[in-house]
Amino acid sequence: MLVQELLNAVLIGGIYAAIGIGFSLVYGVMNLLNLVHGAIIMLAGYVTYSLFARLGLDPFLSIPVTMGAFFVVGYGLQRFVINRILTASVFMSLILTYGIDLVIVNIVLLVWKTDLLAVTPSYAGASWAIGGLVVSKIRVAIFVVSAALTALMYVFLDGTRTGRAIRAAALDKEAAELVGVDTPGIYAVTYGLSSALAAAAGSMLATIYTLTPTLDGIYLGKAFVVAVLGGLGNITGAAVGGLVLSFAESLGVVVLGPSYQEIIGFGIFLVVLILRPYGLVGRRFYAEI
Amino acid sequence: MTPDALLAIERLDVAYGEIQVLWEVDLEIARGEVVALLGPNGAGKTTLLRAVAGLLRPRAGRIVWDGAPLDGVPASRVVARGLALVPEGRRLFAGMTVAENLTMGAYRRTDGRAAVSADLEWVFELFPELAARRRQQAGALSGGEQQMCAIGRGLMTKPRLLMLDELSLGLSPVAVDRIVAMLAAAHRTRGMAMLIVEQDVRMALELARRAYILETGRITRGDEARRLIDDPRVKKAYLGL
Amino acid sequence: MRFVSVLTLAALIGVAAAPAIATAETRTLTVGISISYSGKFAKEGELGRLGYELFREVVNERAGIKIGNDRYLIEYKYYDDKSDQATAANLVEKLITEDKVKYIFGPFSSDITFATSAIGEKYKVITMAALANAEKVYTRGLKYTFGAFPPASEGLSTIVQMAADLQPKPQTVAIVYPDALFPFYGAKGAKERAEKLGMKVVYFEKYPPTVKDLTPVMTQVKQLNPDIFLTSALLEDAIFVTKAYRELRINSKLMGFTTGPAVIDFMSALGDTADYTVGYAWWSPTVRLKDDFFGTAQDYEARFQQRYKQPGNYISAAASAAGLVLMRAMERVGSVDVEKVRPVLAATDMETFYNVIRYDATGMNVGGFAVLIQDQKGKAVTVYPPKAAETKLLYPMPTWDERGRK
Repeated sequence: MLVQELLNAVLIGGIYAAIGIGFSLVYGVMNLLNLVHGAIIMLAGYVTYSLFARLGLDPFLSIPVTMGAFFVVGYGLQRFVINRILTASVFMSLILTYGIDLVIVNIVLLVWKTDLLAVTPSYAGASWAIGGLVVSKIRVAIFVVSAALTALMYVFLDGTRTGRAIRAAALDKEAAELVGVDTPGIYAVTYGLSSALAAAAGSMLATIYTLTPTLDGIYLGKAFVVAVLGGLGNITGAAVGGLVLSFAESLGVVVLGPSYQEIIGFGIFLVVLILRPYGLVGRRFYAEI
Repeated sequence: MTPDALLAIERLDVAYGEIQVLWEVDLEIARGEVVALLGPNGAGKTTLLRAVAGLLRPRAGRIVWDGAPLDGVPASRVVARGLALVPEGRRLFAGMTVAENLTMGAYRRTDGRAAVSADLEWVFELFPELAARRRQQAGALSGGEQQMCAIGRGLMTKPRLLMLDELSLGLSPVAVDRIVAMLAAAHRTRGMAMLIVEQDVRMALELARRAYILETGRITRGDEARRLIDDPRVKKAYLGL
Repeated sequence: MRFVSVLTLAALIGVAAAPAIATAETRTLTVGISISYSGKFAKEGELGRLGYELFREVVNERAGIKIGNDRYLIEYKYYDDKSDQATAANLVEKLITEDKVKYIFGPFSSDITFATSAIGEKYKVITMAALANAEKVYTRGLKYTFGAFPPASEGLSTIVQMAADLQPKPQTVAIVYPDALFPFYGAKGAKERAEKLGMKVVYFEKYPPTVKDLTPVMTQVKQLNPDIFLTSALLEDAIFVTKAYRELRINSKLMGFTTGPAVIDFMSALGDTADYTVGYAWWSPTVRLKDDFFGTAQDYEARFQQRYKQPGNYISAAASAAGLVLMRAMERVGSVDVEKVRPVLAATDMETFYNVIRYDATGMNVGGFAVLIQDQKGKAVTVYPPKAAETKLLYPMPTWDERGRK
């Protein structure tokens, strides 16, 4: 039984990583607590639903579509709106991104009303039975896709010119400008990538979580915890953070009971914030200004 | 102003918000020339470099680079034109390796991978300590090595003018001497102009042919280095004699 | 002589009628409604609004409520409580003190109503708490609050009641619920009924209401392999739990829900995974009940469909019925004065198209009963009690292997 719980925890960890990775990226690079993040995941889920319901497009196949669309949206949002307040106080950026979140929630309510929607492809609920364990096919697919996206992000940041420019801008904005990095443009690319990652998560998660207009807050909360656990700005850290959170939740349920599912995760979050604010995986100088 | 000066700063005023820091600064650098900018703490030397580098917009006056206006051009585009700043405090990319830091210097270059690789090897020849540590995290280097890395990064931009802000800060005299020797060697090989802002006046006047003195936001003296070294007022104020 | 007496009679009639014609007025009764347009209860709030609206339309169509010689048309003042208790309390206070309403139609959610009914009580304003039924709302000795839903503990426990008579008789029961008022009372009622009927409750656990992914809990349920699995939660969790049943291949004989099988969104979200699930409703269009305002349950359903182009549901029905109950009390006493209406309202004992409404001393509807619904091949059909049933219950639920897993 414990093995089944642990297996589920691993798979859920992949989900959480997918949710947190984009949020972590934006904070690490631009020092922005992006309160829009959860709303993008939510909106992408609704778009995936419509693509599925009207065009019969499989939700996993809609990932490139939503990723592309939301990259553009994110790029534009950062370049023309958020960039204006990026150097202002934290308070301003929280207000602005919260405002954008509200706008998105209301768009969702306008277009999709309050109905509870679910994306149910033909393979929903299917699972493999291996030994005494049951393995959900969809969750494995989500895990694989999340892992692939994380790996791709890592390769991108490490091995491409733009990726290196993003890392440089994250480490020292001015020094980056002094070697020629166009920081507003790089920030826009970063935000676009973060939105694309959020969209991928949203498309996949629409197959297991019912779509409601309150998802933005739920996803944002998870993203925040995952990102902090892994170290803000640390991509592989988000993967670690996701697993730590899901294990904390599952073990909390097994050891203490279902009413502790959330509190264990938040407890660990607090402890990490106090003792190791640069995250469980983060290295010290990432957190230095 | 000399017509074919590489860099010409004319009556430059710079302010931080309401607080004016530089008044009517005139300064000039010829191609391949090494010029020092001296003065007490807080005189505005770093501000001047930042304004030239494009990190600050001047309030009035002109910056002319190779005949074309430079004031108002943002920092990321200034580099592409051949002007590089090695900033105060080095400002390396701490999470990157030495090699990655140096390569970032080549970010804006369009002359092809071979040329960039060749330059990288040249920097490693110039600074053997960096070669030994090319795969180490830049944050783990000693002060002197970090300064070498910062200078190396600046050289990787293939500048026609390299500006250095307080490179001796926090370094032992031995390290400073070493770096000065390497800079001189770089200058001999590549012939780029240099603008050196320094507190270590003796070192600066060894390297430079001309020097300016900036005091409370104004240029008070501009002369050949050897004359300034022998000037009793300069000796008293800056060389502790 | 005869001519004179006819004339006198006519004159007398004329005089008698004259005051009625002269003084009959059409007035407006403004009822305050603070309900969820957004947030967690947006869907349920919307359904409540539709029910209140339908009542208002029918009343005003018939020239309003007849109180003495006057007729009162109904008007509503709406506010969005955003599914938040504190916001709702403020809004109700506003409705009473600024908008000066004397009657409130209740919000959706027992937790929210718990707060707003206290405000109504403070100002001696009557609250028709149509959409809240956790016992805790009523056990405070409130005099101005009247419900419509039968008690929360009735629903899920009715499923248990039905199960006790099934062959083979279920032995073990597992119950989960989110940590909130209404779910708790539903779960508690079911647990007590199960134990009373000789079944063993092997799992009785609450989870935080903010949890999105219930997989860890469901994995524990799988281990226990209960005969009956009951979920006392709202729609979102019900959908997740059912999906998890399929995904984790948990094979119980019966799955029961407080919200789900009776609601369209549940079936459209789950497809054939929803088959065999059992829910209850305080109402279904097939119940054999009627009143002299809306007619039979089928009449209400027809009117609802025609007006809103969607099937009727027990939330809207309760809202409409609450309006009807209040109206009848006002008519009987011939006044809209709260102090006069209140005792008459408290003595309500009537059959409506929706359910029987009979209040106990606390204002809770103890006369109402639940009907059980099962999803069969994509349709929600009534299976219990016999006097309302359309067809037989399908039991036990086949295993997932038998149902053809992919």
